Amino acid sequence: MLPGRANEPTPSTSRWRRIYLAVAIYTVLAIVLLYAFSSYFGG
Amino acid sequence: MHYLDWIVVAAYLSYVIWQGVRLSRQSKTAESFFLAGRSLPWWAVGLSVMATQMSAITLVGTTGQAYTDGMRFIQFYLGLPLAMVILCVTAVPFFYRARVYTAYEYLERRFDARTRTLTSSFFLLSRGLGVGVIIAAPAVILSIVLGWNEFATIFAIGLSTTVYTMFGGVRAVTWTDVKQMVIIFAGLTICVVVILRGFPEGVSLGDGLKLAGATGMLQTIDFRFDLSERYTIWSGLLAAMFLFLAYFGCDQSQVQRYLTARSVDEGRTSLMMSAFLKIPLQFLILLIGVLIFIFYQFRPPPLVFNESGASQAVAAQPARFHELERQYGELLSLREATATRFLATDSREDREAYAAANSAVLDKSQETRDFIREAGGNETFNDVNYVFPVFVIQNMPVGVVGLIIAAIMAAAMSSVAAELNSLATASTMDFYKRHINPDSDDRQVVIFGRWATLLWGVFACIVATFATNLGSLIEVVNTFGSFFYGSLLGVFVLAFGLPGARAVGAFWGLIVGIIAVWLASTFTDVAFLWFNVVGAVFTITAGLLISRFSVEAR
Repeated sequence: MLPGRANEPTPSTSRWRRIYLAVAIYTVLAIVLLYAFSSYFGG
Repeated sequence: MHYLDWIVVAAYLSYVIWQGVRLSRQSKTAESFFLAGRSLPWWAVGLSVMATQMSAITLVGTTGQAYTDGMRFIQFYLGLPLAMVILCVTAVPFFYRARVYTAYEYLERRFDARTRTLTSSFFLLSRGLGVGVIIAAPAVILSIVLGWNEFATIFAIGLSTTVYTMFGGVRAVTWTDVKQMVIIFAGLTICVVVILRGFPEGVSLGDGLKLAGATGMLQTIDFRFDLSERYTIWSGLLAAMFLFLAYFGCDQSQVQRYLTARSVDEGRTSLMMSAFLKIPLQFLILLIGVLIFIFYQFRPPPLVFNESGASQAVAAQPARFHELERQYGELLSLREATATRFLATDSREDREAYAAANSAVLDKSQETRDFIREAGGNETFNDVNYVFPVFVIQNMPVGVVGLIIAAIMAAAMSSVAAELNSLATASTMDFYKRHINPDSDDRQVVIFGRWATLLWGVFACIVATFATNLGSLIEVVNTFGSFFYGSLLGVFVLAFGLPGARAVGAFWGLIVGIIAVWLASTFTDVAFLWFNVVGAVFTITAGLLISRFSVEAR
């Protein structure tokens, strides 16, 4: 087994999956908002 | 600088040194000196991660870049949140559960000692030189803008950081980072307020942004897929993501931050903090550059911010310089008139007239920089990094100037402290404890770690004194780092994600990756961010092939 690999899933796995999904949505949202900012002020 | 500003800067420097010495009592064992006993809360680690990444040149250079080139640079950070998610799944739990002191120690557990030694050596070489540049850049700028002695500035930043890192270890580095981030946030916020108050009567923030938008400065997203273009959405999402994976996942100066967290989950949360805060923070820093641009639409900006760098050209051809100044003044008056008219009418014609007047001003600035480079024989003349400090000195109230100078020093020192701390850790754990004195006890390891911090600090100051004179040294250091980063990432991908990878594949894969990046940099015009992708892909591919071949050969 690789050093440092967990033997089994931890109880917090599903919570972290939701956090990771939130980060992905956040990135898309950041791009949309930046694009909207540029467009609104005529960039 | 006013004496009140001096008091603010002196108080800041005294406080950080006292903080380090005070925390030295809690750093008696190797685990407490290098990893703070794995006891720090996620928010302190998260702020330390951000402070380490934000050097003074990020703060000063980015605002200057936004002033001259707009906000395109924000795209560079779009890949950071995604990189953080990948690291939370891979690097953080692997390193934390393996209970290693350095990222390279993990490679010995997974592969062999020579892979650990090679990667750690690359880290020591590139970071040892790099930390000198981190000190040199703000020292040169502050010494020119404030008239300080250059060597004194280098040693004030370098040695005060070395003292608190040497005595207090990673605990002092982290808690000082927290306070330094507060100073940086406070400095930036006050800066925004003062600039907005400096807008003329009747000109709102929205009006100012409309002016900036008309010049294209607010263009933040570029969808073109062009490998030679440095900042596009694709280079940000993909190439910069590889850079952030390498930086936060394989560079000891960052890995050591989250190894100090109380648990795997707190380590992950500290990285998530950067994932959510980095883009807004960078947006704010870039926006300050744009706000300075707007501020100067209604007051004349200096033709040259770096007056010291221009002095030789001015002395050589004073008449030519004064003629450039006169023409620049006329163009500024025209720009201000067109800006006022555009804000009053909001018509397309006036918008275009204003954009044209602004282009003429920019062209005249460029002509002046070319003149300074040619007439002064100063080919490395740079004005971008001087915009923010000169603006602060000339326009900020007494006391605030001291706070912002302290913020610039804080940005430099937080990065330098983390680098020195990680250089000392790698020297101690990957060389002293591993090869020189494997039977050393805790006390000997901590003593060696303190001496290593001091030696790296002095070495960094010496490199910084050379870096101030040799512009090309900075380029060499940065290029060397980019050669190495992607390939190192490739080795860690082999370690974490590919159970079939073997020691021989990782070692030679790393060499192949570095050669591939060197070839790409020599024979193509691919922008440097993509070197990270090239290095990683070649290392992984070669590593897998060599691992497989060596298995078959046995």
